[in-house]
Amino acid sequence: MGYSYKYLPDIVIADVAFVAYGDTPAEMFRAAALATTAVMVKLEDIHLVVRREMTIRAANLEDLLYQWLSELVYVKDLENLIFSEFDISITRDKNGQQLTATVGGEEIDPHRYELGQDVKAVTYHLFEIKEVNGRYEARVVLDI
Amino acid sequence: MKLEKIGHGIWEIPVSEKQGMRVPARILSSDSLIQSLDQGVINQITNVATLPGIVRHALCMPDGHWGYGFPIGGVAAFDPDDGIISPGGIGFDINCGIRLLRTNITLDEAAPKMKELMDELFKAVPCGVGSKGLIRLDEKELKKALVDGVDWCMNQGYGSPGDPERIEEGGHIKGANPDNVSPKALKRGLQQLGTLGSGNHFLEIQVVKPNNVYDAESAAVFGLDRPNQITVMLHCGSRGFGHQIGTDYLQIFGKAMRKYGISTDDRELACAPFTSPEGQEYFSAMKCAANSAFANRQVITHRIRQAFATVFGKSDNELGMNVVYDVAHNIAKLENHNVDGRDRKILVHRKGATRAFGPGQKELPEIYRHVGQPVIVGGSMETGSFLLVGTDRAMHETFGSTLHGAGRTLSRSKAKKMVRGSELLKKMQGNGIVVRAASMAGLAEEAGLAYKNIVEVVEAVKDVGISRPVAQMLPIGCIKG
Repeated sequence: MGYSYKYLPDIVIADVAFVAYGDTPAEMFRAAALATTAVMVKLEDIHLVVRREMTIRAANLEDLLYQWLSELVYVKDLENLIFSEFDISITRDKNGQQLTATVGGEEIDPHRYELGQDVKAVTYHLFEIKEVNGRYEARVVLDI
Repeated sequence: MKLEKIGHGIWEIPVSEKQGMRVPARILSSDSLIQSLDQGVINQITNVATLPGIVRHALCMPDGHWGYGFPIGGVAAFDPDDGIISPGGIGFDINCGIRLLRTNITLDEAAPKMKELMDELFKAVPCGVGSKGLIRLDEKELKKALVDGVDWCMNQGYGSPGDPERIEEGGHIKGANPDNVSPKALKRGLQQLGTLGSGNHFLEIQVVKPNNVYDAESAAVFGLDRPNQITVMLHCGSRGFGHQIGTDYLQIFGKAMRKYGISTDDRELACAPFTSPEGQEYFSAMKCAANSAFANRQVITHRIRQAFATVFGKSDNELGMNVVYDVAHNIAKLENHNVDGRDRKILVHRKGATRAFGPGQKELPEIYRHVGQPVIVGGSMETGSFLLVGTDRAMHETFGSTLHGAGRTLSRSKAKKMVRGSELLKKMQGNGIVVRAASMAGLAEEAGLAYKNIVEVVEAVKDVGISRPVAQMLPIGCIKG
């Protein structure tokens, strides 16, 4: 399986924690984006109306993931846009890591959507990326 | 770690218990609440005790629970000359806080109109994921609001003359400079003024029953002066604007830590010397967020007043909807305190904790100065909330601080497994609480069973003497984002 995620019920009380898995960093980044989005809305409710290109640069993979998820939260507040399709590639050069993504989704429709909880921010609490037997894992806590 | 009871309601963890602790950590609690204290609180509050320039002790209030960086319920003061400032001691939701409004309406008048009132309020105060405010600002106007807070609202006509003095800091913290705020944060703030948010944020219609008034004299000073009086409580913060400032500065502070040679166990405890450029810029940006949160609660208050006027067909004067008080519970402020016999200016961080100044403090409005500061404590939406008053003892023990809520005991996912939103809605309506919610899942996550018993938590602060109960307010209407 390319990617998956699961929520961790026991490591935070007032917020939401998850682990995202992927065969590659890009697949793990996709899983983390879906896990973050699924806190706020039901993924199946999102129609593919809008496509966007996103580019993010960071010094390392940890900061790249933090900024990637923070960007999704930012776009949600700024333009009310929420995404359920993520086509991601991650490249590395001597200056750090770069993520390029094509994302698909639409404006949140509170009347049609089954809403969840708003994500205020991505935290660095217990934040971790590791490679286990060739698979990538990220643990993330979202501030609710 | 060794947890030593050193006085009535006070437990201490000595500096010998963790390498790097500069001062002891103290937990304020009761004999029964301390039994259920999670290990995370002990770990986090002792981490706080290692931070440079910390004064006297790191404190956790009785409603404390595991958070990120500081525990929720954490209070710590730092020397402004050689101490630090930490966004993790404030939280992403800068100046999340609670405001209480009184009314002249009584339960008899409100009861037949509750559904109509809740529908009107649900329209007037946007909430939940993806909600937009009803006021649109351009960047220039937003910057004015960030600098002037509630004073900007008053100039725009969103308020009554008595409002500012009944807000902590007058709703306008001086020294807020939008130049220290990123363009991203400014853009994120443009359309969210007047929105409630989600999570544990709420707008509640409450009743003060005569048997729930514990100090009638103080209650009357605060405007709670008639049997079965209706009050309105709102809990929200600086919305995406403040969250973006937290996100931006967490990354800036990560780099600043390396620059200044500070290390911590937890990246969420990132900090910088208060006097450093990074420290001063964050403090100023934090003030912008604090002012935006005060303004947010002020705009919502304006909308609430309009909704009441529409539903009850009464004038402002007849409704008597004065602000009782507005408290911040995620903030850092420079305050003057007597520390071990010496008057000192210190930087007090409160994260999930409320200022609770005792009688006579010059920071309090004249109308309340002889009684002490009103402290507003939000309970779970099923159990009710409290109005307390600050004490002299709080000034001595906790840098004039106390609890902020009931304190969670169950995680969100566990709460959702134990109760369905639709069932909870029916149960609350059966108990006479009219509910309007943007999210059923969100409603379940905020069920009463996810929180400590607020009566027990309030008893704990009363016993230790850091605040005194004035009245309890019971919910009859609830809006959840």
